[in-house]
Amino acid sequence: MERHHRGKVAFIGHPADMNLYRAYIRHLRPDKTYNDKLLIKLFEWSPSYKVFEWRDLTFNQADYFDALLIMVPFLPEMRDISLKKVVQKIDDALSIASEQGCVTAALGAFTSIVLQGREQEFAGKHGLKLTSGNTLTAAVIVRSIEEAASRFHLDLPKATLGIVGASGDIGSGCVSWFGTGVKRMILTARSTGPLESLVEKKRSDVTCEVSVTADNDRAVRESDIVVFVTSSYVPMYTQDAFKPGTVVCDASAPQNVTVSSNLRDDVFIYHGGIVTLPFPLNPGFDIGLASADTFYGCQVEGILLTLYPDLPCSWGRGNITREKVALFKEKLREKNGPVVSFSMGGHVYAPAEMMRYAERLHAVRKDLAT
Amino acid sequence: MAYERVSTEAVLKGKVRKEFAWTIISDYSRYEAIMDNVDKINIIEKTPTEGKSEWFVTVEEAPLRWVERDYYDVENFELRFESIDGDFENINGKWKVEDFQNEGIKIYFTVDYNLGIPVIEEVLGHILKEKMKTNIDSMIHAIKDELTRAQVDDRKYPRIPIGRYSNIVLNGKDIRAYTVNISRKGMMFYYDGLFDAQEVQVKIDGIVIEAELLFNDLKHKNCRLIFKEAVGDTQIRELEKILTTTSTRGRERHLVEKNVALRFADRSFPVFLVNLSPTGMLFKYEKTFEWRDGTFEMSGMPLTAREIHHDVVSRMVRIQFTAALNDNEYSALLEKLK
Repeated sequence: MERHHRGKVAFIGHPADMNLYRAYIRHLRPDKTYNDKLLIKLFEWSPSYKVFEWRDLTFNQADYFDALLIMVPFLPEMRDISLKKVVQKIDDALSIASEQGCVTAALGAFTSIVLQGREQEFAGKHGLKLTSGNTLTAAVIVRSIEEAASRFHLDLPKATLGIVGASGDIGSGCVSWFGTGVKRMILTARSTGPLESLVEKKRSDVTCEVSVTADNDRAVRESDIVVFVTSSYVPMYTQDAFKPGTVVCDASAPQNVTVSSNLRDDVFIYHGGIVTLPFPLNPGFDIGLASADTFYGCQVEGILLTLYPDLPCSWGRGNITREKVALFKEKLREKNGPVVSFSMGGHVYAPAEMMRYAERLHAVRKDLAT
Repeated sequence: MAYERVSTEAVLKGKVRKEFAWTIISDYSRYEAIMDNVDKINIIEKTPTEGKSEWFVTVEEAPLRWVERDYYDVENFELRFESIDGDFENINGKWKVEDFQNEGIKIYFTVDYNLGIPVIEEVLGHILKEKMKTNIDSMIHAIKDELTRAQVDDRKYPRIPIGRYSNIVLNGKDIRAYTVNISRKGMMFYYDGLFDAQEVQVKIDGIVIEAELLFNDLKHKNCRLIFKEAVGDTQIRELEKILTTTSTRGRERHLVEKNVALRFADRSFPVFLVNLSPTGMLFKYEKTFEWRDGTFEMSGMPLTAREIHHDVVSRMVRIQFTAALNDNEYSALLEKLK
């Protein structure tokens, strides 16, 4: 088979929270512990830097690409850091990507939120395809919910879907998709104004019953499926908050739902927006994923944009249409391509375990119905 | 990762003595009060030559902790430290005080550090170095400010030179002191015997003054006290009168405070000449000294003397000239010593 090198992609990101940053420092210096305040300051002072490089990766043994992991030393815990400084760090990271010959840069976690609305400016400045990766993330969430519903015998057209953080870019993409696919949606955000505007804007995509509220508890309490896509950097719920039988997709970074080592057997909680790849992307330290062959959907969108130049970049907020989600969803069906992953914390759900959840959730729902 | 080095220095011109700077630099208990970046220092062990201390320092909002071994070389006014535990893999350094062109002192402060977190230390590189430099600059400035503060006090309250021995009572203990000077806000004197206290009650012929120690140079037995309240005009005149008239010494002594060499026939000794009178002199030697009654030369002038007091602890020696110097000889010697 003829080999084609399609270019290099930069994964630009930062540790999602202090725990992951500590894990990173432990990887660098396993024999020592440091106080958090010092670690945060050292990171705050640091400029962006290249962490890891992978070469000759491929899904199909014909189209190859290289990848770089570039660290933007930022943490949500940096309360005093100026927006200007964070933008500067991302700008530096894009310079590194450009100097290293990348054609695409995928912005992970808060880096995409910080540059939201300025993607064109920075793409032009650095001569890169720039993406927030939000469309693939939304597509992965959609695909995973459809798959979970199918596995757990949950009838989506009869289900209530709660989206916590629905006014964000990924949330609005999910609204577009599920607006015609579920019975009812409970959309939450910090304030209801943006949600009302969103529903109005997506009127043609939203035919189901819709409730907008700033009360996240309501979405958690009343939904059969809850999707978390917030920019909150503090945990919002524990696994005990959900009613039995609920499917919870936590796609926020850092995650909004904390789980104990004993996962509940009557609620299915998984890390949303994550894909399984046919090859490991392991930088050598914990990046918040359950296994070496799982990776963040937003970063994998960078890979797809490198391999398929016709795919659109994810820019701005509220621009994820049903059509775009469908386009990326198709890529999740391709042979040897990325597929949705079900995991939580350090745990990957095995097929047999998924079967047990299917039975348990079905039984719980039946009990509740009677 | 190799060590990074940051250095800084400060020059203080005027009548600032190395001993005074050393007293401040070697007294870690003062750092917290005078240095903004030093949060706390726990002095774990302390002997005249070695110590162990735990440091809590904030470098631009980054809290750092380490434990260090300290090595005090009072002879050379050099304080070395080496970390044995803490956030840095290593943080070692040195304070040193030297004379500066015969008109003041120069303080050097050098720190060698190694953060010890791979990748982060490489990425931070010059950024951390700049912050460490700013940090040590602020520390040396704090020392300099402390020294300057004392000088400012001097300018505000002019010193009255005394240059005589008298008996004063410090914290209830009778001390034989050679008062160099006194002002409304403090006094400086050399003392015999032992004296070591931070809070001092001074009693001079019935006048009681509450004071605190600004510095106490144990090496030269030289002390400066700061009065808690400035004494009044009438009282300072009274103190001047007491201190200048109660001297039991018949001859006036001149305060010299200068490094000189005493040259004997076969060898020479560097000494710190404290004072001189037509009948004798008081000096402090550095390391070893072997006095031989007889003739020696100082500043080009031959002198003959005998030892009348030798304190091996303070290394202070008082000698008496075999024949008192006449006015011409004495003036000539003072001129040479200027």
